[in-house]
Amino acid sequence: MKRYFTVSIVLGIFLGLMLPAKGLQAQEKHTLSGKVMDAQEGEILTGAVVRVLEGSDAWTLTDSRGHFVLNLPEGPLKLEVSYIGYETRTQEILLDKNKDTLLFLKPLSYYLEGVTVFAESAGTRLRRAEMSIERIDAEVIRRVPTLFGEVDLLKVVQMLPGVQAASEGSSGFHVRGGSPDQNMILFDNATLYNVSHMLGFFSIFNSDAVNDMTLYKGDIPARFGGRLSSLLDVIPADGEGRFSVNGGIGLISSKLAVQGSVAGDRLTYLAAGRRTYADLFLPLAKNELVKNATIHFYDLNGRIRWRINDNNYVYVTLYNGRDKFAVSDMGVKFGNSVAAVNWNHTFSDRFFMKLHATYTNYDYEFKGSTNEMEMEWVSRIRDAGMRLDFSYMPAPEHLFEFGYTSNFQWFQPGKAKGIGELESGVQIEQDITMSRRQGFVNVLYFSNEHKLFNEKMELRYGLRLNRFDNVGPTTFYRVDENYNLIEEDGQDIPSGDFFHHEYGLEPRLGISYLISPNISIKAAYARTLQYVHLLSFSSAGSPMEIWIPSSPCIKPQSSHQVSAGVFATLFRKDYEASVELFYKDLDNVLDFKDHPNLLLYDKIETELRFGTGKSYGAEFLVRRNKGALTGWISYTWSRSFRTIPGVNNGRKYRSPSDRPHNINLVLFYDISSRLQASLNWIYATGQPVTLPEGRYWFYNELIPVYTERNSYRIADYHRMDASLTIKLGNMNRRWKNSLNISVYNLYGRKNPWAINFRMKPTGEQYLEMTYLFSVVPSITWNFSF
Amino acid sequence: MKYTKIIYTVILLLTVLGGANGCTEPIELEGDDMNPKLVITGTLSTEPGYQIIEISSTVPYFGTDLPVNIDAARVLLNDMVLIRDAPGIYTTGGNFAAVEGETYLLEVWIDFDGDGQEEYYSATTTVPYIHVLESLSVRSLIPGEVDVPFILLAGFQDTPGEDYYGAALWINDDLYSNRILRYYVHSLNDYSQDGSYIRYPIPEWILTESLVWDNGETYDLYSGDVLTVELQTLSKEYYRFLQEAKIEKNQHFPLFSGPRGNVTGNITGGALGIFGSYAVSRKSAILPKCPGLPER
Repeated sequence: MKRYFTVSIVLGIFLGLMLPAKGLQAQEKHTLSGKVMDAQEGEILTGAVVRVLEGSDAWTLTDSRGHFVLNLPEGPLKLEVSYIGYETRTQEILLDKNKDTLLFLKPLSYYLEGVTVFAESAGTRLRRAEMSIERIDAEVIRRVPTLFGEVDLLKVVQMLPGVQAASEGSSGFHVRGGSPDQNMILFDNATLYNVSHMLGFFSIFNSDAVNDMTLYKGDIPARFGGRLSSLLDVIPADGEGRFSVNGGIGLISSKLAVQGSVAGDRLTYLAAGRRTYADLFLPLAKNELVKNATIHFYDLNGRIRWRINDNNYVYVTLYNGRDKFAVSDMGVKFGNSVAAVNWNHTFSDRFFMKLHATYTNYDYEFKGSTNEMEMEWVSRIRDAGMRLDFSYMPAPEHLFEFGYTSNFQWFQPGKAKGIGELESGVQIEQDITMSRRQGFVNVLYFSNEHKLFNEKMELRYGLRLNRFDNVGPTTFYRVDENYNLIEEDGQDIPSGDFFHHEYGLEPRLGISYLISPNISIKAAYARTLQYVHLLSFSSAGSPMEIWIPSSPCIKPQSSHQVSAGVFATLFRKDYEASVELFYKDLDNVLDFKDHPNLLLYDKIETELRFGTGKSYGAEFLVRRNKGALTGWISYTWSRSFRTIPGVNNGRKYRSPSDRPHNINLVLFYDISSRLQASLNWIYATGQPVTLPEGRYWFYNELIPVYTERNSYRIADYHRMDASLTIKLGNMNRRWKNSLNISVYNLYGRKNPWAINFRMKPTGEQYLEMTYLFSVVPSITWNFSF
Repeated sequence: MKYTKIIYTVILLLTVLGGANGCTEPIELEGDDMNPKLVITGTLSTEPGYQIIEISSTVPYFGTDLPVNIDAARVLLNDMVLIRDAPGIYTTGGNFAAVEGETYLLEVWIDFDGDGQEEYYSATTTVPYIHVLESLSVRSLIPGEVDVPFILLAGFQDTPGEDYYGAALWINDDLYSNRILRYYVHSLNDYSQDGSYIRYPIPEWILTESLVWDNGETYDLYSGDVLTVELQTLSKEYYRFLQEAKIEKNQHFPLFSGPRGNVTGNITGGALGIFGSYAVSRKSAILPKCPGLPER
């Protein structure tokens, strides 16, 4: 109970901080709220200083949505809004009632309009102490050429520097040499464990329901944690005030979204859905199994934003999506359900609070029947979370953030049941149940962003204090140092028993220095801990993935990462360029023994092996943010290795993500007001593979002999995609429609997806690759009104 | 085992769907050649007959040479000298049956590295107890019908604790399970069936009009064909070897397949291979007359 006592004290301190803030509001005042935006592009400006020059000494910073709120005495006042790289603006306002205003800042130099490549301005990125961060808004996601006409956020993520796709067509990705399970993916702060539709060809994110996403590649803010390599924070889109409908009809899927508001703009809503109908084409297949199969997915998104008053906003996000594959009397269904409620409260112009409550459910089920028996196999992951974030700005130079997060995780790795009747008429019932495993993670965090030397330097430091608990009921299997079971039957832990715990400290540190208005240097250190682990060797988004929490025999994975870089804006901020170096040291990273048993096997501790890892590399990026031609090109050089006793005879080996050279080119070109073209090209060194070097006979087969894991590479991966969007009809009318033509793998590169060993009749062995895609054209009609 | 069947079916479905747009083609990529390693393989059966130990050397994987047998200086089984029957082939003689519950020691002396000194290699195996295959029936996979595809249901009494099973199929007098991919392996230990009377379909053999055979050919089935299943209770190390060898010979896909690795053997002294044992029981069934099968 000590933990709850501690939490109560901390909450008490937080509440204590709130009270004086409330006290300040006791006198008669009005609220001045607003949004600060770029005058040319309309993009939001985060961290702009809004200061009252006359009538009060109040000031505040705009938040991540460009919003600010000030509580001020009634009367005339002069407001100053400043932001690096923009002209400072002053404005006189008569505050005779609560007011909401839009403030536009002009860039120091003016440029032509064009697509905003990134959700943040170049100036913001330059001065922030945060590094290794990529923010992308929905417009970019929508413009990237698509596979089967379906826009996919995660395919865009895979084209960012330092990020590589886990395999062809997959939703999984590696960040700076990490494995796919080392990426935390949040959707409106809810933790997601499997984000794939249709074996990973699509992700669960409907672009109509996404506002933007931020990828933290290592320098993760102190309020976040839980994974070693990265955090992908996906922010859902809010409905806009005017009722509107937009949709798209593609070759294998269609989607529809409606949005609007009620009660003025106090409550906005957005509902979006999409459904695939790939199975309509299956009767054309030659394979009988495929011909009669069912294969589709759907997902539904809902979002409500309720502005209770200027100091209180409530956001509700709902998601439900499901895939179904079936043939004859057997089938598999899987999917996610997500609910998130966020309450943003402004205590004063310097003190804010965000309370998040989230719930995620991922499950899959197989069902089948034979003459004798009906069978069912289910697996489920649930995660219930709460996060309380406070932001406090005692002075323009400081932004303190502190809070508490708590997540309870339920893992039911597998439960199979069969009921039937024998020929003799005897009823039979069979059960295979893997023990439920539960984890409880509680975290206190604190951080400060400290601006120094007239805001030329920014220092960011923070700390997370974690406590992880294993909670019963479960059966716990203890293994010795050779991974042999100490007790064959394990130890039964009663329900509610906190039978094991771990503490962890995660310091975070970042510094940036603005050498000139156009150049900054940055460095960061981050320690991260991971208490949940993926038991799957799939790199393609298998629905049958199993996650388990740490336990007495499965230590938390940990990582130290240092990174440093130079960031610059060039040619009057038309271009940005950056070079980042990183080095990661990993501990307790997990791999499997050779030929592990992961299928409905409860004593999983005997199949795992633990060791260390290292990743290092350099990322080079140039991007153009303005003009008719925008986009980016990046080159990443990186290496990633593992050393795990029991794997590869304990010798160092390449991790599956060790692909030294990676180039991403993404271009958007506005040919005219009606025509938009996009093109991307990806190149990556071939994936490491293990090849045999010898063979011998056994049971009329030639058994391969390996000497080194991942010591060879398959052919390099490269692919070009292109798309053309044609806006149809009268563009000034409310009814708008457009045609998007995409070609995936434009020049038909046969990229290996799987490698298998074959033998000629002469006994000579050769390798055969399976490739998934040749040229894949698609067409989608989009509309809105 | 029923779950295994479902799992295989679903995996097959997902694989077929996942690869529906995929194609295959040979690629040029070769590994290095490793130095030759000694390989010792052999099994003991409870059925009387020649029990064979084979000694060979590895060859480069991507070469055209096939592994060849090599002679040892001495091969002993529980101090009994085994007879050289052919190059690298050593046998017990024609009427040797391994005894259930007994532990056997295999010892091999050979100058494999050619330094003039004999190296010593050994392995042990404990022969498991026979599980009698009490029933074998042919069942249709189509509910309520008697037609292909058929599956074989094997019935036997499991014993509590770890038991490892293999099964081989004869069709008339032909050994259909003449390759490891057509041989069935399974373990029973901590599932709810442990110690129960087991009756389940063997998922390895889905019996249709024609079965997959060697070199892209098919093996045709007819009504009235006699199907004989040999239920083998395997020693633990032999089960593991068979299971891992089978994984290595199966196709690999990113969706389901783990990293490749060496098959775990039990020969000490640095040689590859396996010395295992198994207990045997057999039962036969006849393919019924049905619309999907011709008659001979």
